[in-house]
Amino acid sequence: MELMQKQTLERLAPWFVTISMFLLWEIICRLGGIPEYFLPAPTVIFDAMLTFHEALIEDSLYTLLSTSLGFGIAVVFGLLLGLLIGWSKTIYRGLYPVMVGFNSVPKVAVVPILVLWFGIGIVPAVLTAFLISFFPIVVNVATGLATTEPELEDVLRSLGASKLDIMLKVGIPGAMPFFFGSLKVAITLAFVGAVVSETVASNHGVGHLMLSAQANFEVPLVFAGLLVLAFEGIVMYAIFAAIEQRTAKWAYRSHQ
Amino acid sequence: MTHFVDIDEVSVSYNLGEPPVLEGASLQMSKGEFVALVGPSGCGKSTFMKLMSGLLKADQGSVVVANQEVTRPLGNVGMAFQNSVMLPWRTTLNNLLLPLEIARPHRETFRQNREAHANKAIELLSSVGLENVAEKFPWELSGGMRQRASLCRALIHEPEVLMLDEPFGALDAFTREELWCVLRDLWQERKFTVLLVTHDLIESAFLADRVLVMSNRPSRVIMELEIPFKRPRDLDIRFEKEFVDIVHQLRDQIRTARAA
Repeated sequence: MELMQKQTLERLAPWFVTISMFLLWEIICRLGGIPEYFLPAPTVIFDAMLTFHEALIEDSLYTLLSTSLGFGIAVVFGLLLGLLIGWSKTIYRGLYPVMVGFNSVPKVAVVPILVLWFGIGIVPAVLTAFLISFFPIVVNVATGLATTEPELEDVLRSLGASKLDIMLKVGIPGAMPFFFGSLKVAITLAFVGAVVSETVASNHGVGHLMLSAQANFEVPLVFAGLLVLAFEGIVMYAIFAAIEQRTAKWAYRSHQ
Repeated sequence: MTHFVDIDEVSVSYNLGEPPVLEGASLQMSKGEFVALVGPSGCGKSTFMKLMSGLLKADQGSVVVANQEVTRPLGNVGMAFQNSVMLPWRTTLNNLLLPLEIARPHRETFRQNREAHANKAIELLSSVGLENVAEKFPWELSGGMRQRASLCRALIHEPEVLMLDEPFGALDAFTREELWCVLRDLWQERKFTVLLVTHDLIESAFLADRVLVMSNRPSRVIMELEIPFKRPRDLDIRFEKEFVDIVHQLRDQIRTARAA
């Protein structure tokens, strides 16, 4: 009985925390007399959402599109590069400094260059999403390949297995949990990248919407944009977390 | 006469400038013989296994297994380790089939013969008391069960030589005794050639026809002991005086080897 109560409590906890946060926010805004142009109360923001729902939906779909395109490229590219790095120590050594350096560059700083090359529009957003999100995929795939047990490699090599055999039979399947684990991180990063790029250089997307709302002093709409972004981020994370759980069941069960 | 396994005067060093791991080491085995290799830790026991499997090339000397000079992996050995190294995403059955997907000549015809192979694997599993786990995943098995399955995987492609690197080292005492008997019975039935690397002197004397003691680095085989007890041996043999004497003798040799 007590156990059941505890489980129920655990299940309800996220809802409880989220709702309390909004309630607290509302109360502070109302009782504190905080002006709407500084921090609008949640109800005011929801109201703005209703009023501008068409623009919000359109722009968030646009952001979603650039995110998914960038993410898609990152998955293909990240997976290939990760396999390449895991394949050979020389390639790994060679690429390592370049990759770390590349990853250290703030991607906001890259957006102007992308605009210079491709003009304002969806391309810089897609590319920023790609650039910001491929790194964790590469690192995870390469790490996953590196976890192949040496004894297992000995067993297979003694049977006459080629490097490709080992990669196909052991390396790649073993790296899959790492790969799928990296996707949920990568998708949120891609989303951030797309929004950043839209804010700097686009005529569409939630990032652009927020920037124009701010220019027009539509503060509730700015916050509405933020909430929509947070919501989309949660949904995408949840989707990829679920995919991760499904695709590599063995990796979770074996640690039980 | 030519031996089934003939390692002749081999020297191996892993890194340039370091003293060799093996120096002028020799080891001969007849077909169907059960040989145990004991010695101080780090004395290159596993290096012997790598030489025989072709994973490692000797700097000097020659390695011959089943009339073939071993210079690269020939796929004619089976290996099992202390760690059972199963693939967690494959069922036990599919783990057992892995060598057949890789070793020649099976790999070319693996798909056509899959069912026959699977039947053979299940038969092998039942012979070690694992008839009901074929469809279970490795993480659903106990340590002892995994080790039995690992033995089966090492035998599935009917290798010329079975090489075991402390296969029972991580098991509790009761399970270990159980697995000694499993290995004894498997060997009694199939009479494969075995090289067992172990730290456990009782294990070596109980299972092997011949126990070889190795010296510290650079290692060689410094003593050889025939184990005279007739087969099949009973677990209780361990408490008989002759057996205890043999173990004592081995222990003394290793103590000297360690001190050297």
